[in-house]
Amino acid sequence: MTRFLLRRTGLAVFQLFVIGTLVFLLVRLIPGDPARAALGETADAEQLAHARALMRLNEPVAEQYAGFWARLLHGDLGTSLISGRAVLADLPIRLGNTLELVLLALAVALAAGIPLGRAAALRAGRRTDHAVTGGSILGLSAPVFVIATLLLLLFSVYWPVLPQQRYVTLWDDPLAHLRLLVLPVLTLAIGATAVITRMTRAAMLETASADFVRTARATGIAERLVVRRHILRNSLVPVVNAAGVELATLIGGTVLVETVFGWPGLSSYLINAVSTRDYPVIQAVVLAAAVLVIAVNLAADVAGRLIDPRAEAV
Amino acid sequence: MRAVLRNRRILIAGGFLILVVVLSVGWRLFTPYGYQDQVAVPLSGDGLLGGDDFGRDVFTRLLVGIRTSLLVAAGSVLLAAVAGVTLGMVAGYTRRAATVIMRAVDVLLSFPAIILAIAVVAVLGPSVRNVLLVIGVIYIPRFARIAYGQTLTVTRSDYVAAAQAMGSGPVRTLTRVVLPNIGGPLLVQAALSLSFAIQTETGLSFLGLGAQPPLSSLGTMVAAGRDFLEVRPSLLVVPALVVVAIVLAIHVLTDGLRDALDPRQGSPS
Amino acid sequence: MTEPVLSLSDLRVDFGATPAVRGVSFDVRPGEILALVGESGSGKSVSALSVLGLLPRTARARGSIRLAGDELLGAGEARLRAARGAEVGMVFQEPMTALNPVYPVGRQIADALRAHRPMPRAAAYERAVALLDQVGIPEPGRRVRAYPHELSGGQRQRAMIAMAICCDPKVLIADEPTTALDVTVQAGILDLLRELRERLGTAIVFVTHDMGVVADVADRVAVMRAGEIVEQAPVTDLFAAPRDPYTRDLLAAVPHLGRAAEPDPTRPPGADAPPSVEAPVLELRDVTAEYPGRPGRGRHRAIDGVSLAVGPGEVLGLVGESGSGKSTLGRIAVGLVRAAAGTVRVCGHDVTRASRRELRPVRRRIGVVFQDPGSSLNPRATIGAAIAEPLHLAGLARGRAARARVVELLDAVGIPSAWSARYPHELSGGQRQRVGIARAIAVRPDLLIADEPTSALDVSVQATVLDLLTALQRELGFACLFITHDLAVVEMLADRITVLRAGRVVETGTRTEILGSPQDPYTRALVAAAPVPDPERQRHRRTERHTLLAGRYAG
Repeated sequence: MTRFLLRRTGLAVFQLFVIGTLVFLLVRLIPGDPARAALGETADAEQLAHARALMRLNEPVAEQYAGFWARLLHGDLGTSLISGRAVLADLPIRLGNTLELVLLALAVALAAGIPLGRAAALRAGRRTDHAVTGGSILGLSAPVFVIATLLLLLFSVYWPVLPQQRYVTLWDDPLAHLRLLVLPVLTLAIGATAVITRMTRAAMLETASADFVRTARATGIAERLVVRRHILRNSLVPVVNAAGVELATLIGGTVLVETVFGWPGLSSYLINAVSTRDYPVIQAVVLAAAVLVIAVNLAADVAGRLIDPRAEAV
Repeated sequence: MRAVLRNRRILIAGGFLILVVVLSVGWRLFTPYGYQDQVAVPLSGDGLLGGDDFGRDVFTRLLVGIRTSLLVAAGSVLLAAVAGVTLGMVAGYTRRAATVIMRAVDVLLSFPAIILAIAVVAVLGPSVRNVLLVIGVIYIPRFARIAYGQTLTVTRSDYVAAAQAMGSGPVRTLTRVVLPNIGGPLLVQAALSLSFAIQTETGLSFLGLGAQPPLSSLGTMVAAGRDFLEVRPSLLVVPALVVVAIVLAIHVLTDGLRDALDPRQGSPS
Repeated sequence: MTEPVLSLSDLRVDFGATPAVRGVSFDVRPGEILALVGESGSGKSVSALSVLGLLPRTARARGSIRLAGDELLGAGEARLRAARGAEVGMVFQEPMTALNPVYPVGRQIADALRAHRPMPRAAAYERAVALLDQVGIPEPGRRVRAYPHELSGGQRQRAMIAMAICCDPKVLIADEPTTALDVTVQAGILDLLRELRERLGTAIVFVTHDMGVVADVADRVAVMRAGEIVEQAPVTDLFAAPRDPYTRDLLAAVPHLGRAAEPDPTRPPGADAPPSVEAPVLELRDVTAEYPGRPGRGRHRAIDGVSLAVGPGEVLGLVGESGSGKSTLGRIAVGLVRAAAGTVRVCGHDVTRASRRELRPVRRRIGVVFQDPGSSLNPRATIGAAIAEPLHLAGLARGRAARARVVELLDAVGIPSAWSARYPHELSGGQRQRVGIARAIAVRPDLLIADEPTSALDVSVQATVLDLLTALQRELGFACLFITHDLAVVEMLADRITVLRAGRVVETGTRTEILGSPQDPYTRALVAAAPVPDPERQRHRRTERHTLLAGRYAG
C-alpha cells in the first residue's frame, strides 16, 4: 500500500509539473503584446512598461520559466494587471466559494444517485427502472446553462420563491446565504446525480451476474445481505471513480452557474479576467483548478484501492 | 450491422438527428430570410417564432444557430478522433514510452474542458474557428485513451499474434486487424463526445466566447434571451429546449449503439 | 438399500423457447459419488444448478427435486435458503471468479457459517481456520486472512470446498471443480473429495466432461446428451460394457494414456527408435527468455536455458503444466518473443536476433495453430480471407490463385468450400479450429507449431481434429512442435517428448521412454497424476501415486 501511495503521489507531482508548464506556455501564445492587449489602446508607454515588468516579459525565457516555478513554490501567484492586488489575496476566497458549490452538489448527487441507481438495478427492466433511466438521461442531456436559466425562470420569475438577490457570505447573513445556495447547487446536482445514478446502475447490473454473487447465494446468505455485501460493495469502485471524474465536470459547470447566478467563485473570477485580459489571474486560476482536479483524482484512486485491494496498481 | 438498424432507439433518435441536420445545413431552403435581415417588429409574434430584440426572424436564426453548433461540434470531434485514435493505437501497439505518455495525457483527460477552452480562447481570441480547434485538441486525450486501452486488449488476442506470426507488419496489422475490432467502443465514444462538444460550444457561446455576433449559435440565443425573460420568454426557452432535444437524441442514440454493438445481447434496458 | 438423499424426477428446464434439460431423473445415496458426464450443451450444469434454484431468471424449471423427501423445486425462497449451504453445498468451476476478490477467504467462509449457525464473528473465524486445515491448506491460521488472488488455484478451490462443507451438508454438488486446474493439482482435489466422502458420509454429485476424472472418482455415472440422460450405470459397468452408442463413441474418442505400452499397428516400424536430429527443422540452444516485470516486480524469467530440436517430419511433444513456459517457447520459435540469450535456428537460419525483414523467408516455412479457435481468427474477417492471409503475406499467391488454394485447403480440412465467405462466429469451435489448421498449412510449411490446439474443444470434436492433424502430418510430412498439457493426447501424436517445468527442461526422450519409464520424479508425478478412463487401472494408478508421493516426503 505504501508503495502504491508513493508511486501515485509521484504521478500527481508529475502531472502538476506538466500542467504548470502548459500554463506557463499559455501566456507565451498570445499574439502581439500581452501588455497592450490587457491595457488597451489608451495606455501610455509607462503603464505598458509597468505591466510588462509585472509579467516579467523582458527576461529571457529560461529565466522566466525558472522564476515561474520559484515564485509558485513560495506561494506567489502573481499580481493582477487590472486591480494591482496580489492574486493570492483574492484567489483563496473565490476558490472556497466554488468548492462550496461543488462539494455540496457532489454530496447531493451521491446521496440521491446511489440509492436511485441501486433501485433501478434491482428492478431492472421494470417500471421503476424505466423511470429512473429516463430521468437520468434527461438530466444528462440538459447543458448546465440551460438548467440554470430554466430554473431561474421558474423559481425567480414565474414563481418567485427564490428571487434573485445580491450575494452575501455565510457569516453576514446565514439564512440568506443558504437560500442563495439552493438554485446553483440544484443546477449542478441534477447533471451529477444523473451520472452517478447511471454509473451505479450499470456497475450493479454487471456485478449482479458475477460468479461470486452466485456462490454467495449458494451458501444460503439472505438476499439483502448478498446485495449489500457483494453486489453493492463491488460496484463501489467504478462509482468512486465516476464521482472523481464528476467533480472535475462540476468544476467546469461552475463556469456557467456562477455567471447565471452571480456567484463570486473561481470561475467568475476567471471570466472577469478573460474579458479584461488579466493574464496573471487567468494563469493562476487554471493552475488552481488543475491542483484541485489532480488532488481529487489522487483521493479517488486511493479510495478505490482501499475498497478493492486487488485494484491494479496505477 | 443489422442489429444497428433494427434497434428502435437508434432509429428514432437517428431519424430526429438526420432531420435536424437537414434542416440546419440546408437552412436557406426552409426560410426566405437571411439571419441578419430585420424583417419583423422587435419582440413581436410575427413569423414562425417571432422576432428577436433586433427584429430578426427567430426561426431563421434558430436554424443557423443549430448549424453553427453542429458544425463546430462535428468538426472538433472529427479532429479529436483522427488524431486521438492514431496516437492511441500507435501507443498501444508499440508500447515503448506509451505508459508515460498516457499518464501525462491523463491530466488533460480529467481537467474540465470548458476551463481550458476559456483560457485558450482568452489568449487566441473568441471565434468559432478557435472554439472548434480548442475543443478538438482538448478531446484528443479521450479518444487516445480509449484507443490505447482497446488496442492493448486486442493485441493480446491470438488472432493478432497469428497475424504477426505470419509476418504482418505493424501498419498492416493496425489497419486491417486492430482497427476493425476496436471500432465499436470508438464509435460510442465519438457519439458521446459529440454531445459534450455541443454542450461545451453552446456554453462558450453563452459566455460570449464562441460565435460572435451577428452569427448565431444556440448558446448566444439563450444568452440573449435572458434579458427578455419577463417580456418574451420564448426567446430563451425555444433555443434551450432545442439544445436539450439534440443532446438527448445523441445520448439515446449512443445507448442504442452501445447495446447493438455489445456481443452480450439480452441485458435489460 | 438406503433411501436416496437427493432425487431428481423428470426435471425439465427451458430458457425461453429453448429446452436445456428434457426430463432428467437420477438418485444419489448417502456416501455415494455420482458423476454427471456430458459435453458442452448437454445440460449437466443446468441440472446441477437447478437443485438449489440458482438458475438465471430467464429459466423455467418443472418436475421434481426431492431432498431427503422434501420437494425443493418451486419451494419458497425461505426453504431454498435453508437448504443452500446447510443441506446442499456447491463448489463451482472457476475459483478465481467464484470467490469475491475484495474479502479475505476467511471472511467469506465465516459469513457462510453464520448464515445458518448464529455465532460471534471470532468463533466463526476459528471454525474457518479449522476448516481450511481440514481441506489441506498449509498454515491455515495465516491463510484465513488472505485474499483470493493471493492463493494458488488449487488452494482457492480447497477454500471454496471448505466454504461448501462448513455447515456439514448431506449433499455436495461440484460443477466442474477441477477443469481449470493443473493435472497434479486436480489429483489432490479429487483425493480430498474422496476423503470427505469417507469421513463425513457426504453424497457427491460431480459434474464433468473428463472421462478420466470420472473413472477416478465416481461410483456411478450418468451420461448426458442434449438435455437427456442416455445411460446410467455403476462406473465399472459403464467403462467395461457401455450400452448406448453415444457412450460408446464418447469412450472411444477419449485419448487413453497407456497405449504406449501397446504398440500402435498403424505406425511405420522404426518410428520409435530415437531419430538422429540432423538438419533439424527447429533448434533451440540454451535459450533464455524474460518478460518485463511490472513496476514493483522484477523481470520474470519464463524460459531458462532450454535446448531442444525437432527433426524433419518428426513430431515433438512439449509437455508442461501452467506456468511451465511451453507457450512461450512456441512464440519464440515463431519470432513473437525474442530470446534474451541462446540461439534459435529455423531450417538452418539463425533467427535469434532477426529483424522482421530477415524473418520473412523463414516465416514462410512455419505454420501456427493456436489454442482457442474462438480468438485465433479475426472476428471481422471471413474465413476465406483468414486462410488466404498467409499466402498474401508470403507473396505466394494473389487473387484467383489464392482463392483456388483456399478451396483446396478447405477441402483438405473437411469444410465445405462454399463457406469461405462466412465469419468465424458462424462456425462451431471444432470447425473454427479446422480453419485454423487450414491457415497454418496454407504455405506448405516445414514446421507446424500447435499450441494446445484441442484443449478448448469437446472430447468428441477433439478426436476428429487430432485425427485430421495426424493425417495431414503423414500426408504432407511437416515437422511438428506439439505443445500441450495432456499426456494422453501427446501420446497419440508424438515421436519424442520433452517435459518442461518452470522454464526448464526436466526430461527428454522417446514417447515410450517418457510415458512408459519416466526417470525424473517430476515426470513420474505428472504421469501418475493423469487420470485414465479405466476405473480398474485408475485404482491401481492411484495407489501407485500415493506411494510415490509418500516416498517423496519420507525419503
